[in-house]
Amino acid sequence: MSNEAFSSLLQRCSEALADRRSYIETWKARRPGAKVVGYFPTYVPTELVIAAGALPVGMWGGPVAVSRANAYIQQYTCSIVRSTTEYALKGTFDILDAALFPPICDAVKLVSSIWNLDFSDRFLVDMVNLPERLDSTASVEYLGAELQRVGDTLAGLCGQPITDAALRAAITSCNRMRSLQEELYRWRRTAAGAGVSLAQMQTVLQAGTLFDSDEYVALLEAFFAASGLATSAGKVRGLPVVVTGLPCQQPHASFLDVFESSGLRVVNDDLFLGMRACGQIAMDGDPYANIARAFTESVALATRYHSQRPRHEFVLEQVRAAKAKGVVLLIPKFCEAEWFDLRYLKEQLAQQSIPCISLDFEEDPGSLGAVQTRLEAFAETLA
Amino acid sequence: MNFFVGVDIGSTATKCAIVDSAGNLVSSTVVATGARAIVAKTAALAEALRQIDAGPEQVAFQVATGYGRKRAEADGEVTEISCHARGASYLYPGTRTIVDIGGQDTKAIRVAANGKVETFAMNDKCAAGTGRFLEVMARALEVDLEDLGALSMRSQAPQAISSFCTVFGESEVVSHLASGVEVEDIALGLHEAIAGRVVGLMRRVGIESEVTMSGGVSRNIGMRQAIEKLIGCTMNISPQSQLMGALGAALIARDRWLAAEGHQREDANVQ
Repeated sequence: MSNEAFSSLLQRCSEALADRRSYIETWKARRPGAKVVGYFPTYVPTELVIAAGALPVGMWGGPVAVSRANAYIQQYTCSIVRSTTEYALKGTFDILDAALFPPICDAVKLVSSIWNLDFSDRFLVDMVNLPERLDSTASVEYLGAELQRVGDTLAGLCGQPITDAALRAAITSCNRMRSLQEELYRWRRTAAGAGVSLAQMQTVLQAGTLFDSDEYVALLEAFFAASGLATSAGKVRGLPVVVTGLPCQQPHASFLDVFESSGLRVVNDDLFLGMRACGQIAMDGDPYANIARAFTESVALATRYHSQRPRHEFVLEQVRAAKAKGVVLLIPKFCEAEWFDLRYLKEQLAQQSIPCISLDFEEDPGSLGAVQTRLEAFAETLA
Repeated sequence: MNFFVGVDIGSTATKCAIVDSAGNLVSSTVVATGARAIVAKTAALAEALRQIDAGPEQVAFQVATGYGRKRAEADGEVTEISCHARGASYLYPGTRTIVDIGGQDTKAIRVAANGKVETFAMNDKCAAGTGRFLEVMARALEVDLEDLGALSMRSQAPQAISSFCTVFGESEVVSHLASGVEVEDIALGLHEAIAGRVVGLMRRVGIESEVTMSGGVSRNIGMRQAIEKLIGCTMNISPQSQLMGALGAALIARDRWLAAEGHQREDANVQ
């Protein structure tokens, strides 16, 4: 793409993601004694980690050949559970001081228990017990107390208490990060951002789960300051579609590229973390309660339920807002939560006469010929 | 005279269909794909043109489909889903559901009254329920693939096959043979197992009559009957079933050429 400001941002993000260990080591070297806390997707309140003076780092899987993990986890489990465990067994995560898990599904609960049993001599392993229901007032009170507990654990690990002032500062930084990511999405829907591929967006958003939040905010702000001067306008190509799927396991970039080579343009999605995981957190009042309330007010996913704000309404809103012609339901292979939602989502979309297709995927993309055929055929039905 | 070519480069066979300006099927060929798709495509097209004594200069538009479509050097490429839908709707205008079982793909397609694809489903990476699965099992049974379907019709006591994995399925077949199970009973068990999987795929798009079967496996009578038994209705099966994708591609080639030329489409019924 021709936008130099975005190319520069993308390069910085790509380089950091390509060598996460170097980034983390550099960050630690500048802050002697500071801790690094890994977190498993989809969502852990990173504000607590930042307020404790630590660096939160997303623990993503990847297309690694799984061998050691097969002795711990059955093979008919989603690939992120297997690949992260393989990385843990290879020592990739030994740079972490703690690993936090959200209880998003049975497989993640299982893997967190295995990590607790087998890896807790390397780093602290804990579960942030998020509520499954978003629509209960008891959820806010419950989660507020749970966040206090996690905060105390992190304070113990980092050797410094989490003050309300530090937590509010962390919330400010993360709120800014989320609003900039939303702005980035809006920018991509304009002609100036039209040349940015889905895989490139994934890189920039995923980098937000590695970078120090203030550094990431500065990068995005610098991008917007520079791109505001750019006059280059990309040509909008492809049929507009929305992609929905659990923002846990991430598709490989080559898999995402197939969308564009099949004549589709993904104009909106709920695949990524950041602004999708949690909205803006209020600043006034008890910061723990504010984080808890923001979580219960966030969008429904396959793993979190709200009786008054069902998931399909968010998907339909995305379709309407972006004037999409269809929806691609992206399902991690062996993901029970997504499969449970599949039929319901298809029915809701059919009622609105919105064409949709479901695709399953693993982190290792393998041969993409069949994916290409499916997406091209979907594009042919939309044309 | 202008001709319109459709080439369907499948994993097992490469099919070529030629239609004339009126949309009549005038020539067709089927050759083994082998290791080099472009070689098979060139051979299939040359033979199809030879049959009607035509030269390549008379090809007005050419559309490629199938897994080898990207390397076919045609004027256009269209997925096999759209091509099978076009071909099946052309031969059987009442078609609403299509099941295509090819060498490595199985597809269920639901089409609208105008022949447009409404929705579709494909098998995943696994070869279970495809022609390749039957090919491997026929070898294990030491039966010619062409005879497998007819052989299964002689069975009175089908042997259930529980392994969908091609490798484990082959082991299971070998095990049943060693236990003295009759070959025809294993053959019927295999067809019933695949039919169950294929019909499951069809249910994902919704089974609506008329149902048309296409692809090379449609020539297997045992497979056809096993599917019909499960869906409770007979399927349209044309002598050109294996050519359905290529025919659809040829018709789309004609559509595109006519659209470019500003002509109206005038289908001729070749049934």
